[in-house]
Amino acid sequence: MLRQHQAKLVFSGLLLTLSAFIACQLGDTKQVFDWLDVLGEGTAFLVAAAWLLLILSSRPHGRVTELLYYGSLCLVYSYFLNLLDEFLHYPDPVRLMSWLESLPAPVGMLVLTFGLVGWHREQRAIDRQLRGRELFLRDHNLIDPLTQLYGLEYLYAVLAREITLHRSNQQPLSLIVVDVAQFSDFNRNHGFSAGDNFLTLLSELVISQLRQGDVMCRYSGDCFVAILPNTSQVQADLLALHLQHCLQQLNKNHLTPEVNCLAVKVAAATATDAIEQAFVELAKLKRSAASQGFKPVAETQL
Amino acid sequence: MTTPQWFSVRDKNLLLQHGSTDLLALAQRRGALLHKLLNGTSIFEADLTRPLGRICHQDWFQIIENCQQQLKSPELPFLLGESMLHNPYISLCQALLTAPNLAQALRLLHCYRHQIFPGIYPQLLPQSDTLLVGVKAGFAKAPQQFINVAMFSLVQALVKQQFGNNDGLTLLFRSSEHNAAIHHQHHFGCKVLFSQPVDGIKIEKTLLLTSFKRHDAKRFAAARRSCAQLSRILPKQPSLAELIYRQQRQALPALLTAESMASQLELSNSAFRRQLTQEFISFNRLVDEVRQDRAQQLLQQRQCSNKELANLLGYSDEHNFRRAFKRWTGIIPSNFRDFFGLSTT
Repeated sequence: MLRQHQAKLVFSGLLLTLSAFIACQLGDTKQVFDWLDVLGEGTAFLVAAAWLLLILSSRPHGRVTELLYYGSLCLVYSYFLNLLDEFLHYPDPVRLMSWLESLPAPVGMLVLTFGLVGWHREQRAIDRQLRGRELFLRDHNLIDPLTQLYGLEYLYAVLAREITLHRSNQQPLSLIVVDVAQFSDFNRNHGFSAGDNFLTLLSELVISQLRQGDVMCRYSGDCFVAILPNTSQVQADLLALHLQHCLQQLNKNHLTPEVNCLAVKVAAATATDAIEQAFVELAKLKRSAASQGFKPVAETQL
Repeated sequence: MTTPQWFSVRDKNLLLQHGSTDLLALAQRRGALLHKLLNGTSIFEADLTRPLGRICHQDWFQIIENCQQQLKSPELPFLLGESMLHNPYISLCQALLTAPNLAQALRLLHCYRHQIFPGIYPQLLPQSDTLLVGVKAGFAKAPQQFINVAMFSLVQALVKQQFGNNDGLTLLFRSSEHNAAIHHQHHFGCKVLFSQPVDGIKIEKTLLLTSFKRHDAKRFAAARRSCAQLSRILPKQPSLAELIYRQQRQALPALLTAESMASQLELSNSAFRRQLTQEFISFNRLVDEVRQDRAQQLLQQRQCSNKELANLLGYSDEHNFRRAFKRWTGIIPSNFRDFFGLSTT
């Protein structure tokens, strides 16, 4: 990302060098340095410079980035001259340096604030994009790199919170388990990259069909769990049926594996028990499907 | 020049296509960058496409560590094992898939294990109606958990494919149960036990001779032949730790000293010490490990008095043995038998 912003980096470097040069021309070195001040102002300068670098290294081009960049550049500039001030003494008639030192800071703060407001709006847009993937918690360490869904730890954390909330409000909470049948056979016959592709496709499809407020996590390997807040068993069954039909569209040529969707009402008091109960139901469903000769699950439920 | 009796962590005795390329492909599909995965190794991107390109253990461990660092993806070792099993370029795995039965497949895996997992060595612990294959690490500083899981996953996938289920398997891990337990349970789909005395696979003996569904005599013979041919370029060398372990195991109840071991390997004392440091091996700890494993094995197989065990393991008296056993396992020998009896049922 930093490579995109080479021009900005060069400009900041030139600006700082130029002002250091002018300052050296105008002022003379002080006899005594106040090292405590140097430490304080030096730290402020370094931290501001680090922020500038972080902003540039984490953001693509755009209006918000420009605002954030110019705002923090003003701050860095102001802190830099502040630091030079500790080493140099300017003759009284020269007011240029003190203006240059004090003016950019408030301007920079203002611009930075506008930038942050923009960032906030942008974040809300991204949150809308993340619908179905995230609920109330954000921790990038828990994201599964393949499907970009949250993993098991996240599921447990969110589910535990939802269970407590729903119990205290006496609202129904449901889960949908999406399980790929015979996934290892599919991997063996079509290769592991095809298997990975299928999982990615599946997760995209399911997420696009979920409602606002639902969240889907990758439980492990070929098994996904979606949390449906404030949803009764009937509604969840309908949604599962709908998902099943969507997934059958995916499976038109019978080239992809069969997928089971099962809705379960959460009755347990802890997340672990709830998940366990869901898997017991899933195992039952699989057994009955097997005994009825692999009929599609949606039909057996009807 | 004669080939040395063992391989070191810097010897290039692993084929890139025997696991490394599979792991790199898996990691890349999960968004990791190839140049970052190869960071710190002597492998270049161009090497990956070369047939019979080789890699040393140090680089292999580095790649695994890079993968774990860059991707928070606990499924990687499980997928690695399965994709290795189905990799058409690994003739050993092709032979496993077409073998007549599990016993034959395991025998083959044992015989040619240096072609895919040279860094670990097995230890057979037959019990009354099960076969316990313990797995020991050849290098001290290795991501052993990852490699063990990959290997278990390979065997487990083989059994599951041939029999349709893997109910007869039990996987044992020395590590205590933690967050990863659910992943283990779900991916393996068979019984998984934690906090065990060894890392290993327990196989019911009835499975061993049941014939495989996908047995194909012709392809099995062909794959076996190419395994034998591959043995010419990948010589069968143990790691230094394995070599010492085996020598000490044979020498019991006598105890080897570092000096006697060095003379057996035709090395000077200082050269031997240097080798040990290079491979991060503590000689005394390894000798201790041999005695520990043997003690547990004897206790599981038959009723032995402490005095008898002390004699067999080279302890001067039974008190010393009891103290050592307490140090290894935290319990005294008589309790161990009960404990192990419990964990087998």
